[in-house]
Amino acid sequence: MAQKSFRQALNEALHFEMGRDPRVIMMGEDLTGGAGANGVKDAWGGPFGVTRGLLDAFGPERIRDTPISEAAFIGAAAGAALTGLRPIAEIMFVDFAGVCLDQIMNQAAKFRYMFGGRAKTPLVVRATYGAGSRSGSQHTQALYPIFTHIPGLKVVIPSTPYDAKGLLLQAIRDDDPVIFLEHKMLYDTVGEVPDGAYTIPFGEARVARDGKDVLIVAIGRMVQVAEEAARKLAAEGISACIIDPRTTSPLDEDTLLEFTETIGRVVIVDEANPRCGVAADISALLADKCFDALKAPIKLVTAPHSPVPYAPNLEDAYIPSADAVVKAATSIIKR
Amino acid sequence: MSALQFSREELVNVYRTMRTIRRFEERVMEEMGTGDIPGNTHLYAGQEASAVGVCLQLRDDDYISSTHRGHGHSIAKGVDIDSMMAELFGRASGTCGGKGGSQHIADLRKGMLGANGIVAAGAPITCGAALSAKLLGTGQVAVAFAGDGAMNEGVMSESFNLAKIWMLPIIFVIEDNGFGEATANAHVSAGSFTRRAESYDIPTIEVDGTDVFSVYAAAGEAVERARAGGGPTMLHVHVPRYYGHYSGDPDTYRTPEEKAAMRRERDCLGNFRKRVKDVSLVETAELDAVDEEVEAAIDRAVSAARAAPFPPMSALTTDVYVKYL
Amino acid sequence: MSSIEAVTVPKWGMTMTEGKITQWMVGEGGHVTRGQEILEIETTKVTNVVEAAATGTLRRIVLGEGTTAPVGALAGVIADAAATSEEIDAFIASYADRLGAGEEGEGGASAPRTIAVDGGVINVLEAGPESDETAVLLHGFGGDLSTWLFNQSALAENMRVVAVDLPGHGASSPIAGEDVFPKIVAAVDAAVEAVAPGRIHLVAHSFGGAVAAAIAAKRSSRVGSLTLIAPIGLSKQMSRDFLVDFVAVERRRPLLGVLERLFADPSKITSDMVEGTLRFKRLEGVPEALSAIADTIADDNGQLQSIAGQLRELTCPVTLLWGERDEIVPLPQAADLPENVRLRVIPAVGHMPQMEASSAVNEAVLENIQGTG
Repeated sequence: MAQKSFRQALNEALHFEMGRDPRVIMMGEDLTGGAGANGVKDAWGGPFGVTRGLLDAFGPERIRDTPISEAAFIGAAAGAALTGLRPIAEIMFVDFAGVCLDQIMNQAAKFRYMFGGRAKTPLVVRATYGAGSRSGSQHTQALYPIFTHIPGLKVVIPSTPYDAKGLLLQAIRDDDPVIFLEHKMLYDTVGEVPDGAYTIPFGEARVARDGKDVLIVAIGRMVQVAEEAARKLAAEGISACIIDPRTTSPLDEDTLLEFTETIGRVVIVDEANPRCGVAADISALLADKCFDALKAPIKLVTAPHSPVPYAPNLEDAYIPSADAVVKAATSIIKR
Repeated sequence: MSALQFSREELVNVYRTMRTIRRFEERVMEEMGTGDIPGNTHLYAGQEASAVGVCLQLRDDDYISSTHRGHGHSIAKGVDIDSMMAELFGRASGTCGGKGGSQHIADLRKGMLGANGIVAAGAPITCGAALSAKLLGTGQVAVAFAGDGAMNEGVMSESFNLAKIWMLPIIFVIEDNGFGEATANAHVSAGSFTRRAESYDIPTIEVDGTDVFSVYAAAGEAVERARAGGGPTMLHVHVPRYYGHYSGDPDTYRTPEEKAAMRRERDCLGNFRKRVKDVSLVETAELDAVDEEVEAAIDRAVSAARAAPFPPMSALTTDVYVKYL
Repeated sequence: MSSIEAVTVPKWGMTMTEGKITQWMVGEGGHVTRGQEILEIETTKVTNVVEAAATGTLRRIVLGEGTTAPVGALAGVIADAAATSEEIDAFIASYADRLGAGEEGEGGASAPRTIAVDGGVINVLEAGPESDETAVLLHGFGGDLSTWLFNQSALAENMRVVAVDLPGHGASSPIAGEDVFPKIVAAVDAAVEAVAPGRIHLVAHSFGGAVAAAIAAKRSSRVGSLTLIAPIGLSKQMSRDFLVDFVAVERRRPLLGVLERLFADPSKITSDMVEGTLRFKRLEGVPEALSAIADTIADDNGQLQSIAGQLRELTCPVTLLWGERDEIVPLPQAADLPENVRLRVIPAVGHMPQMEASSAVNEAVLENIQGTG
């Protein structure tokens, strides 16, 4: 099967679905780059090269480079979704949701409920997230807890190229508003991705690795960290199972509970800040629903309660590490 | 624009709609006193000619978005008053099944994209509806109603910009009742609203919102431009707000004298009666009959709403998503 | 007698050609037990660990951390205390010779390729040395050529072995519409003609058994032997529910429940196997193609295919292998079987003996091919 990058997998999904469904449009800042200028068209192909070639294939009516005006174009995307289009709006960095949160949180998320079930909002908001790019505090956050908290939104965080394509196709075909978060440090990762179209259902965790001694739950880029930790643990004779929930809303509670019941020891790795984070949320779920199966305290490995720092040594320390996961896992196995 | 270009029947309909809005709001205020309508509500009384004059220019499938003060826009766009009253009472038979309430009445079948509890939030959403119309080639236009308070929200300016660069078939109707909640507009707004829109090269028209014929004429120009691909227009409509900001607002920041004068001198229904009487188009008796008809209709709406059941408990968690997994 | 075992760079998946040693989890002189993870190797797509194939001491690390080496290269040596340093040096030297001489004994490089046939492509994976005779492996409903994960290399030690993805499975194009079964037979036959022009030995599982029987009937003069593992078409009995459920399920847990019916020991099913099956089933067009095939296999009254007549006409050796605890295509009554067919029942396994009892199956297949059964 073909080896493709995370970026290429996303690009394929966008190409495929825009070709299949004329109601799908895209809007965002520099989706092409160079709009209105005299030089190269599609100069950037998106700030991270994800949307390259779409302008050529589908034209400027459907691939709309917007002003730097998130509140307006995210709101417009919500309104277009309410009235027959299936927009994909891109927030370049999820941190910028700060200026358009109303349109996501109070509008798109709530239309269906407030309107008594008589509305559909097939909107996808794509955004990059995550630390590691030496970009300081305002371009690096893992803000999925904010969106996960809001009923009416679905929140998708792919960890592999295969998942990125299948989950994005599902997101575009989904009739609810979906926040689709792409870790910017994953764009160059490579994996097997079929050429054809496929969708991965939401609320379906992936068992990324079988194991029996400790369960590591990890999301997005943290799946890689968990995999590295699992290899190190294996060297110490500890067999770690890894579960990637893939979507934090809906959350595949059944799989998390099933594996916690069987394994009894759990480490949750989360790049988000710890207060009211997804790690805290999952750990509360497990403590509530299968306390008796737990053989040790649930350990959380998260970023600290601080903004993302700029200095490389500090940023590296901010991001949960495989060693921290190993330490957490061994601490509950050897107690 | 004069009353002369309407048929007698059309004039009666215009009056009926304005009268329905007025009495709906007055009755809601009364019913608030019984404690049977939950929460609070923002009343549109005094502003009727704006909603009616604009919506009269619209097709059934055209879109509007509204504000927290949304009952008038809904009625003018054809949303059924029985379901609206039931919604205010929080009943299962309400427009939104009792789950939205006054600030979230929406009826997509009528092109009504929702009242909105967030000031100015309807503006970008309406840009999106206009974009749908443009890309799908339906010939629809979209109207974003907003108040003077909305003009100081950043997203309003962002929406002007987006509407213009994308040449969207949209009309921004700024209903200026002089107050953002309890604060006078003059105290918080710099410059001029029309000049703000004009700086985006958006044509503007300033209108007396107590004269339904003037509103109708201005909206006609704007709708025609939008449908012809000429892009957005902004109407600055001056309207009175008969009640306080919300039903529980004692409205002490305006003097009794100004309030009395406002109701006496700036009444779109009185204006209408005078105008049609001047040209002898509709008999006063006929309008009186409409008043009675409206009264009966509102009575029926209130009785039906009171008799209707509250939503079932199961409704608490349904319709959060189309598909849950 | 001392025992010396090689730790080599493994071949993971179909396309790996070399690997980078990223970490030794055991130092030289460290004790290892069979199955213990001892070496981490990185490839273009995955980093994974190598398990010790024997218990003993890691006597020598040949490839240090950071080195990249081809598949099959000697990375280290495990031996017991009885082995002398000289013996180990000799082993390493002999291994270098072996590597230099190529990989004939290992089945050769194997990347799958597609064969163009009417209406699409058929994906095949070839292994083994060039030989006059070719073994052709056909998987069952819902499987793909990885069904033969534990068989193809073993069989390929002596001859060329080609595993085929049936239409609508793996990387072969789907076939839908009317007359699905004859179209599948025609497509596979055309691919086999292209890839194995000489004498062929057909080895097929379940639904693939009916395809193999049809090809054998058509090409009887060229078929050297036929080994069918729990084939359809020999009785009416069939778990139609399995077919329907397999097509319908979209998620991991329900699919696991369906796959468990295939095995006598469901603990053999890994999450990778479930995810791999889901990946195939998620592809657009696949559920429809599977559904069409399911409808040719059985309806509510039982199986629709019959291969007894075709088998009866064959003059080559025909062996049936059947898991004693098969709940999908239950063991038929002896009276229903043609007289020229030999049945071997494999104890304690279900519908997947080629995975659950791969050694026994490999042995039986070779015996049937070599005519020594």
